[in-house]
Amino acid sequence: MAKVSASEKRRIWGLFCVFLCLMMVVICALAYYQLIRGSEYKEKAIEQQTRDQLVEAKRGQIYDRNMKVLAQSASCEDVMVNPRQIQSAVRKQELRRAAALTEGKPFEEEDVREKVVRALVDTLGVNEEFVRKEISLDYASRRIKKKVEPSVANRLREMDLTGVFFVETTKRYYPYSSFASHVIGFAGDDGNGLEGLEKMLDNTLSGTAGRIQVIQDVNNNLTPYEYENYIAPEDGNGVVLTIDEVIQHYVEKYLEEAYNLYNIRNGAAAIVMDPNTGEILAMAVEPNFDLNSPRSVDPQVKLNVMGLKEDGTEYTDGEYLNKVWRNKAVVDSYEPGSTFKSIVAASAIEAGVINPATESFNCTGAKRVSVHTIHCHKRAGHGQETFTQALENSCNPAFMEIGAKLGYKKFREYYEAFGFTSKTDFVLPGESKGIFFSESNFNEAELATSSFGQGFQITPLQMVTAFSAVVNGGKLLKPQLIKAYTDSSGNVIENVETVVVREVISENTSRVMRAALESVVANGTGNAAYVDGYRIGGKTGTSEKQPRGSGKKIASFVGFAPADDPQLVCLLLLDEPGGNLTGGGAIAAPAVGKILADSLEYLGYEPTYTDNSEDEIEVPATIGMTTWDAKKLIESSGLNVSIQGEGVIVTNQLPKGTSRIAKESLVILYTEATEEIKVEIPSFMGMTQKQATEKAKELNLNIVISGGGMHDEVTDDMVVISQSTPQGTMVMPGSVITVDFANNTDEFYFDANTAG
Amino acid sequence: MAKNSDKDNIVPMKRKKRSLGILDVDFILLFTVLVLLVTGLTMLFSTTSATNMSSGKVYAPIIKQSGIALVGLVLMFMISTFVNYKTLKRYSGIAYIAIAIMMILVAFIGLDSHGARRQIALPFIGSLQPSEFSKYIMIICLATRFSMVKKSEIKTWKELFTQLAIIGVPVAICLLLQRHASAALVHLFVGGVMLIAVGADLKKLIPVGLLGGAGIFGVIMATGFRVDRITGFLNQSADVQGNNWQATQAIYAVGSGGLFGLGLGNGRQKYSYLPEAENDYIFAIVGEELGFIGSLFVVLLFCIVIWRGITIALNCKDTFGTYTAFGITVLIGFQVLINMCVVLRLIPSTGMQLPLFSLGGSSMLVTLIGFGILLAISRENLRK
Repeated sequence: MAKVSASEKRRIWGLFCVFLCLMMVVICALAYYQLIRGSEYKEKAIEQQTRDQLVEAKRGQIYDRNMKVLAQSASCEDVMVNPRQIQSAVRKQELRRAAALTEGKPFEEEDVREKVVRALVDTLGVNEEFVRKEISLDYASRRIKKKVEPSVANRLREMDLTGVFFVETTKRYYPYSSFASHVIGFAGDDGNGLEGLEKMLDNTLSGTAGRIQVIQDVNNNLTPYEYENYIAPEDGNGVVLTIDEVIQHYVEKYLEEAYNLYNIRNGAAAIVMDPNTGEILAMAVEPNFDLNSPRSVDPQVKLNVMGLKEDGTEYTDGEYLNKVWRNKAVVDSYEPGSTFKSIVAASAIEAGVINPATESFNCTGAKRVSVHTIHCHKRAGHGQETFTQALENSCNPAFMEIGAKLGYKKFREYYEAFGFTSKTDFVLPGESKGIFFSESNFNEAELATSSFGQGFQITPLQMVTAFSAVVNGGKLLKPQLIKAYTDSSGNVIENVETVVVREVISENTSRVMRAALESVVANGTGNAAYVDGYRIGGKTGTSEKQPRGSGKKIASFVGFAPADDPQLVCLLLLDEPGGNLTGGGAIAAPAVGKILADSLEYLGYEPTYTDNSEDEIEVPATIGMTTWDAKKLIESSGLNVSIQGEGVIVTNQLPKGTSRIAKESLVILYTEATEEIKVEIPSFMGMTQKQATEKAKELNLNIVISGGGMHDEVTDDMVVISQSTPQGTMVMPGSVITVDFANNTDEFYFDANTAG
Repeated sequence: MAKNSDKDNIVPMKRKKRSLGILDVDFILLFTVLVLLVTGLTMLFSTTSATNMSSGKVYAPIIKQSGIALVGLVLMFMISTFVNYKTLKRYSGIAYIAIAIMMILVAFIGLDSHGARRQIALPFIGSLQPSEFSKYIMIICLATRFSMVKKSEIKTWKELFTQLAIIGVPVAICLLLQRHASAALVHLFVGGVMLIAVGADLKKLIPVGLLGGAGIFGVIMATGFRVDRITGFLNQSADVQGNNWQATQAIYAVGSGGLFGLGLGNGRQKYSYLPEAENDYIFAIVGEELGFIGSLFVVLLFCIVIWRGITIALNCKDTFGTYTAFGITVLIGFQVLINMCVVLRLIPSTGMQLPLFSLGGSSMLVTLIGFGILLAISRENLRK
């Protein structure tokens, strides 16, 4: 066998060279793709392989001033499915089923799809049809249910379901549900603050989300290369509010009580401020809402709050929620009415245009201003009165005179100085700054009505801030809702300092005003705010809403306590009272009195009583005595007796032994043979003292008269503003009912005929 | 390696008598093949561990492939040590007829895969792809024919047609019955190169080749078989999600590797982005995980294999040995070249496996047997 020839050898080496050349091309291509354009292709590959997953930061907590938690975030999980994975598992199972069928073996696997559907429907309570639709889609990831408790998610996890996975997230809880709802606000499902502080402090609370870069395959399944790029989330900071949980509770309790009792039609609001620091200790608005389900609407509640539209149809849920979420104390402006007299008085004293010690006014029941005749609420007139008496009486002509003395320019100056022309720069959303006359429109008549708080609009927050300046020695403070900021674990990192905006009046003027305002409660129209044992000052207000003559009013009261060293200022306003009681002195003052008294007691101020109950007599205990002995004993202590039934032994008595009642009240003795006769309690509301006493006598009931301020002087123009036992209750004859009296003065005055 | 043979020529006579040991073969080739085999199996494990992750059978493919490789290695050493390659000449005719019949049978009773039948099921082994064996049998058959023909007759029409017939039968079966274009192409190319090398009359071969090429092209176009691959190749930016998906993903993988690669086992494209990553596209995973350095290393190893193959062919004392060795070398070289060109998007996708790397028992077995024959020839070359 011959060896290969030289020519063949050449050809073969030639072919080898061609091969090597082609391999060089391959190497060049490798170099081109890997070295020259490598980074570009790598980028494209990474782009398709990776997916950024956000890791939610934990939202910061909101605390009250004593670090009670008002809002917190807890971990929970979204339940997700991977429809593609489920579909592929179902297909594989079908193949196995078919294989088993052809081989004649039994097929006992649980149906993959049915297992997933059953588990999701049973555990999460979601709609079965919805689940079936979602898992039939051509997606790698669909959400089945948001914000599931970890325990529920773990139950699903234990079932080891194909294509079901979980995404960690957080849920916002408000432990006190509707508590301080307008202050705290709420955050949406995505964790963004939507209302209140949750909205305004969103940046502080929300923190910074972290990121996980995960590497996934074509079907979005995770590959083993997890957490390649992990940026930890920064949890949000916490916020400590100036709100005191206890005081807020008192405010909400008494505000709700008044809101329901006086049939308030357009909402109510109350603010408690520490006049020395500007800190808001409580801020409540009625109607309120549950922060844990801010969007839920009870149709009956909606109807009660909103009524019907003019055409008889119901308001929509959206309109209702807009109204309910609205923070009336900050967003809505109102005409303050007579509460504003405190500001006018302070301005006039500070400006030196009146001398509170010597000034005297003469009220004839009306005052002519330009072409208008403006009446006092007391048509007969208050006659001669001092400055303090004018404030006690809330006398309109006197204050028109004070306003006139102050003059347009000074009035405007002090109006601005007390902060009524600017926003307080408050931390809650939607603050308005009120409306005042333009310079050219501020004439004699406008000055006159402005002097008793009509014609312009301010916000409740402005009012309480300005009133604090009147009683705290003259400093206008910036209202604060935030006391401090904390880190994510609750350690204080920044305290918020008190901000003095300006000094408006002197300490001296402030002292005079404190005394005069205390007198309003002790002796004047604000007597319903009087609480035995505490020194409370304040000013009533009843303003007529626009349009004039509609009869719609706003009743309000602004009070402070203790009168010698103010620690609390409280403003409470009731918008459109619908009952027969509409005066601020009658319906707002009692609530403010109770709020201040309860709060002072909570803050450690002991009540100091002065004994002024000498007219009351202790009822002797007579149960078990013979009727004859009992009658003799009771009559000897100055009370009247009535015996019910034919028996000889007293089995019961009303009022009970040792309780104290007015002399000459009736004590009813029951004997063993008494037939049970009960009396229905009537409504005493709006009656004068004389009417109430007669009515009680008629029904064999005992009434205890209360109210009338420090001196318990119930005057003829006072009416019943509350009774201890509600109307319609069945009681034994002789039962004691306490009725409270107060002024129900309507402190507004436009004469329909003369007012332009 | 002319030098080697000169050196061998002056070896003292007494060494002729000494029987040759298991390593008295072309050591460079043996060593290179072993390195390639280990590299190939490692890359295959890296790839199949990802592609089979969803089914949970991470180890099954690599265990099977390693087992076959072990069998292949044993066969390779047995052939190189105990078989005198010249005996192959005697059985080449029978083997040729047998494999042709087998391939025809497979086209009708084989395992159905994507509408084509190319494999037969065998007990214990699993499946076997006769066309892989057919390539080697055709080479041996052609070499036998070349060794029989006289120099003067080699350029005659009659001889040319005889040789073309040897090539044509498996090509026709692959193309028409098995719809296996890449196998047909391999047969055609290897046969054609062997004809050129042996000194066929190019004036006759070229027109016949053009005619045959036109015919094959016509068949491909007429049956609409894999035309999409060609059109896709010609318009690479279009249809990235569809026809060009695989090619694009291969380039993403190769490009991601950069100079040093993502590291062994760290590739991401094998996670269902790159279809057939463990098969025709395993070189893309080499590029992604081992980078330019690693890919170059593999390319150079294959170049060494081809260089040694050519050397063995040229050092052989007889025509049959020369052309058998040459044919096997061309076959390996062609497969490597086409596979790499496909991965690097230089030519359209053809379905060519990378020898010693791609998943597939028949290819692995037959490649190692082929190297066994090459080593057997090199052993005879040493025996002077």
